[in-house]
Amino acid sequence: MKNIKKALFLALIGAGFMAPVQAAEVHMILCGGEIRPADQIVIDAFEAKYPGVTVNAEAVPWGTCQDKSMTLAAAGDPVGLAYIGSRTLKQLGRSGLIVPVDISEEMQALYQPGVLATVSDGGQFWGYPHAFSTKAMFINCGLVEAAGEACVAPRTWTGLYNMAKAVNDNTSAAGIGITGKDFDNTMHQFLNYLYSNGGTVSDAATGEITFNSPETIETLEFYGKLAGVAQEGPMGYERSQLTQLYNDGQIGMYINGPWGAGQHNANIAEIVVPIPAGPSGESGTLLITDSMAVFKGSADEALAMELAQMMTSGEAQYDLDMSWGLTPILQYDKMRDDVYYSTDYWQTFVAPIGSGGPEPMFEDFKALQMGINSAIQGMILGEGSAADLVAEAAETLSEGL
Amino acid sequence: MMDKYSLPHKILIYFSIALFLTFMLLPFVEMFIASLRPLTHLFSRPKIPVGETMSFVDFMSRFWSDKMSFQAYRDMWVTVPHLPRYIFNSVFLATAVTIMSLIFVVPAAYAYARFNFRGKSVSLTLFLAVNMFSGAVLLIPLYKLLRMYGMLNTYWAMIIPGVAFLVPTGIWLLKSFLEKIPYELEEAAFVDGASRLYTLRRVILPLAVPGLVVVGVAIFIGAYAQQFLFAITFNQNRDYMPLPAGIFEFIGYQDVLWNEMMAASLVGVLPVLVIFLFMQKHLIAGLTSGAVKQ
Repeated sequence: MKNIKKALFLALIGAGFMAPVQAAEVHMILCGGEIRPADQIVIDAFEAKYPGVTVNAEAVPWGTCQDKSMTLAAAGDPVGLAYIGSRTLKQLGRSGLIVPVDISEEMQALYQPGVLATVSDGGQFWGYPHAFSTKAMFINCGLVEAAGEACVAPRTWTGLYNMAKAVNDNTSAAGIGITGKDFDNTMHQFLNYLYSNGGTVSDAATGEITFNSPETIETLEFYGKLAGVAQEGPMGYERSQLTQLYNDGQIGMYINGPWGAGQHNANIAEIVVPIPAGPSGESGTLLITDSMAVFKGSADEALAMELAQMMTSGEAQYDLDMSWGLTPILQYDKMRDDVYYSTDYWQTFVAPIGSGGPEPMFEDFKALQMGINSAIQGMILGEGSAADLVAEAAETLSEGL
Repeated sequence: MMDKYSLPHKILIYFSIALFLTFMLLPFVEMFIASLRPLTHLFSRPKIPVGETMSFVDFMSRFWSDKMSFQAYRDMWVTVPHLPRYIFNSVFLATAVTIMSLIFVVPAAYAYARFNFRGKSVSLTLFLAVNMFSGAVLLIPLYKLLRMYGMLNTYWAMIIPGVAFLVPTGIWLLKSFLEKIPYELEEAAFVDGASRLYTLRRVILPLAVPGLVVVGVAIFIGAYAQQFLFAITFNQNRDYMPLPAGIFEFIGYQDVLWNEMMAASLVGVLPVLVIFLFMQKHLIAGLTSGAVKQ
């Protein structure tokens, strides 16, 4: 019996020694199911610079990408760096799963205004911004003209509503597509209107919730008014479904990102216009980023950080922005002569960057989404006055800060 | 004769069957319709002007439109070139899990059915307790374990946890089946000088075929359903991914190709469906045998 115990003990010790003794390897998770050639060039350059260091680049399909890095971190086997939505950075940082990153002053100056605000918390940067988007309004001119209106950009909410109403009343299509499903992009779409009406979610400096304001109430009321000229049952729709409705000629207009033109049918005559301004503000847009975050306790944080820097600057970053059809994250015009976004179409997405507002950073980002979405859904369903719904949402938000 | 039903009986029976089948099959019908529709028509509903009621044509157009086609069934192989591999992996993993589980389940169930030993009921209860945990709860410890044994990113990473979770259910199912086989048959074999193992192999197992089929099918279904969680956590090699994980490649950065995803799901379950059609006879025999004393 004693011998058996001894053997078991030795076996356990042995197993302990067998546990990972890894060569220097940087494990990187990229979302999207493929490693783009431009990324591969960076990886090769990195490996050439550090002989003996290998990069294990894993391309994970979108649907499971973010969960994967969280599970690995929780299992004590964190990846070196991973692509994640910037809205999760605050939670990851506060729970000690990721480390703050260095961004040189030179690089800071190159980012588009507002981009770094989406990764900052407590005076530190928690990730390298890697994918950026702004939004604009796509209008189906065929439908607008069929409704007897001229297809010119509405500048104000009144103009927008009148155009949508004309399409709704005079054609078989609904005036506008709006989202109401329990999705992040329902909140995003609302924030586009909110930022175009001078509203805010929280104070950038103090972090105090500023959501409960006359501007927000005005915006929510307008959203409710839009629901009257929108597609049937907005609660069942999120943005990608609106894209399909738009392609099918079922809605006159809706908000989408710069990749929209590539998704739309070629036979739709359309114009792309800045989000119309509300009565209390100027045309604005929502700034959203995804980031490369460096996880704590991975093989070599410094190496991971350097790889992240290489991935998020220069040619690899430019290629990503261009091939995914994203709003340029860096001011490439300061770095090169020819840029892909010099056309009028692109300027609609680039020009409002300065007047845009960031996707707010919340420790409990699900509470943010839940709070704002239930206000929107309450408004669409007519469950209460805009003032009550906004006050209730502000309370949920302050709990999730 | 008991099978003479009056007309109201028959109506009630068929109505109940129809109702039950509707609930069971409606999701599949919806999947099939979605797979036929072009993406642009997927979310469209005809606009009903205020104050008017929906016409029958409008109502039907929610289910049927003239632009439907089998295009998605052609496109899906192009969108996700690895699809055949994913379907193969799914069937392979479920089959491997089933075979390995049965290797453990048969002797164990036999022992529980025929022998009395210390800790029998305790261990049986523990087996049930294992089933109370879903794989998700144990994901992190399992990950650590598999990493320690260097099994991450192999087929084993999905087979071993699969077997571990399904063996207890298998033992419970097969044990109750084996208990119903008369002990006298074994005694007769012992009198003729047969050993335990010989008896198990030549007397018990042939009689237990219907039970084995039921257990095998139950394990196969379980293995097919649980692949997803293990695959996305323990495996990063696309060549080993099963279909439920591979389906995620239809989700893009901004788009989801719902129609192709539905088409791929339907095609993916076809191999399993075919297996079931062949097994159906045994399955029903297995479920009802031992119900009455003959």
